[in-house]
Amino acid sequence: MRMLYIIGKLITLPGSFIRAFWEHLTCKILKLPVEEGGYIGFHDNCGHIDHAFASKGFAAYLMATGPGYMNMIIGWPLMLMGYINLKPLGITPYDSIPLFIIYILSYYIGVSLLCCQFPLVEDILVFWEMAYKEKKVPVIGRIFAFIPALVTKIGAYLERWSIPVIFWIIATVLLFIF
Amino acid sequence: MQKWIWLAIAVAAIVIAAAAIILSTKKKKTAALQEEALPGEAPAEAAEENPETAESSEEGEAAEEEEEIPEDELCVRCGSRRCKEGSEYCETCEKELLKTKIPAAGWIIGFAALLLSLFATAQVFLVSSIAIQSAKGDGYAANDCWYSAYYAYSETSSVRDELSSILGREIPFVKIGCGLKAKQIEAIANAYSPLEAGNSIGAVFSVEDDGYVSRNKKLQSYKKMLETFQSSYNAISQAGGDMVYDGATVDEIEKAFLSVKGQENVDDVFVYYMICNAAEYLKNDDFELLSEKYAALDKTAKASGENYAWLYYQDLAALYLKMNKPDDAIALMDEMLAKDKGNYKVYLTKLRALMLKGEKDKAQTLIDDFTKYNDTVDAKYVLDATFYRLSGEYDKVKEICTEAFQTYDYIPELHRQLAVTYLLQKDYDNAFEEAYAAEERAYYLYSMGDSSGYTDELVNTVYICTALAKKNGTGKSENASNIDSLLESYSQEELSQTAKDIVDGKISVEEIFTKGVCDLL
Repeated sequence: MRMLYIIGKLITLPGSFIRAFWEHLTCKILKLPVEEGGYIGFHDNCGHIDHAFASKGFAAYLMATGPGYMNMIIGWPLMLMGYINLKPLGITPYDSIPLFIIYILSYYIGVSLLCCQFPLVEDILVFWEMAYKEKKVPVIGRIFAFIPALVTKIGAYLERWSIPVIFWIIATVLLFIF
Repeated sequence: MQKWIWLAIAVAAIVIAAAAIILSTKKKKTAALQEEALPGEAPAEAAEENPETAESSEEGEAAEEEEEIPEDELCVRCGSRRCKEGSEYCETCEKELLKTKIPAAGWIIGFAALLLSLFATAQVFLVSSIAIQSAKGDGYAANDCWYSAYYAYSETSSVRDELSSILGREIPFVKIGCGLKAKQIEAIANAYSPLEAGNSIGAVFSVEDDGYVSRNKKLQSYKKMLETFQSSYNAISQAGGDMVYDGATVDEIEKAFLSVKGQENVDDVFVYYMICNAAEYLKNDDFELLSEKYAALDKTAKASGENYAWLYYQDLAALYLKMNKPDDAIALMDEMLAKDKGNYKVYLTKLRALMLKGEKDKAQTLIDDFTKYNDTVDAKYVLDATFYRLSGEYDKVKEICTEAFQTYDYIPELHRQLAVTYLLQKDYDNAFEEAYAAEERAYYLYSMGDSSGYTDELVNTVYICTALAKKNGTGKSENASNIDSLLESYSQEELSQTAKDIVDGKISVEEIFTKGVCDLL
């Protein structure tokens, strides 16, 4: 499982690196200590940073989902730009080599960002326990956060097995061949 | 040269980014390794940097040394000091870890990605209308509705031109690629014919796209088909093209045409097709002869293993209708509809066949099927007008045509159907006016490069309406002054015997337009 996870992270290197950056930035904003160690490596935290857990509900929620939202906001336009120009608009190297390369890279970076939307399981579990077991988060917050937190929790588990990477590889084949 | 500069910039950016990532990772790894190797020295280094905290932590350390700290209360980082309440780290370590710097590469790459996504959002917004048209075309193509697919694909260039005119300039990131142009050509091949597709390649692709065109197998096959047709036509013309007009018999012409069989770049199917054309020109009413010639063509086409339905099925179906064999015509049209649900001419022929059989319900269902698979409302009006005219519901024909003309005044066939309706009601003035309108619209389309409006049925209908208006009309309609000049423009060779017989009074309008096929085929 670990090897599969690391391979998935290396395949989606841009997304992993940028995700780790957003996590690090979020920790800075929330004043959470961050361990040294770099963003990418052959360890279980590849593509994430080692940090202290937040002690408050909103901070824990932001830590778990904020970087994912950023990756999603950046990833979708890049992915769409690549896909739309390569498939519906049919740009080929014969039209313009630089444009073709830009769109291929845009699609790759966009998809790699979308493959790295979810945090480590521990991050979302911290919020989940705080909100729904210890009930430290107000009711309104718990209601609004439920669906995103549930999706993030499921996604975090799936990301352990690089399921999002496998999904996007299959989706890419289907999108471009059919 | 410009392309290579772009490529170099892209490669350089990738290399710089990769180097930045590797360097930042290495730096952190080195620092971590150093700390691991000399754990005792870490507090000393920290003390050098922060003397004040060093003092208080030294005091704390001294106090802590006095009592043994349980393992689960030790700082996870230094492993020697008690961790803060609610934290995994001691105060010293926590303060250090709060200062962990974000690598420069992170800032650059993170915010570069953010800027790129803003650019990507703008670009997606600009090209979305073109992409939607293309996706529509893909949807139609997937359902074998090739005319609608062709229409959708060809609209993409109009949308792109409109976008450029709104923005006031051509934008390099708003571009229709060779892939989309190839789909447009494929739609033409299926909606019309591979010959038409081969003919359109030069119009759709620019000179810069020659590299793509030369490597695309489908495009090359369409070009090859067009070249083969042209060389077959040239070979036949040389062998005996003029014989058709010099009084030769069909057998003599056939012998001359067949002499080119087997020549280089001559397709036998095209040779037999041109024999059928010559036979139809010379012996339009000899159904047995024409059947024989089409049978030879059909046998050759099927033996080739290629699909030549686009070449002769419509003509053969028209012959079956004239021979009162609607089922054979329907079988051919069903075969064509299986490959293309968007060909309105196929629907029209099948509609005529069903009406010949008296199956009005099936004919109505056919029109509903057409609507289901096609967005082209103008063609539906033609089908409706034809259906009601063949049903004898002339008021309904007028109602449909009046409604259609508000938006689709340019369709010659609609005016022709209305002209025949007026003719059947012996309203010769209006019949002429509508026939004149049909002729004008057909000429307009012809001047725009589309000769599809000028069918034999249209030419003969206009002739009949004009001649009968001269004989029986009041001469007071809007374009009545053009009757004589229009009649003079016809040559006897281009008119069918049926049209001449109607004008000469040998057969009635009702006999042709209300019995059998109910039209001039």
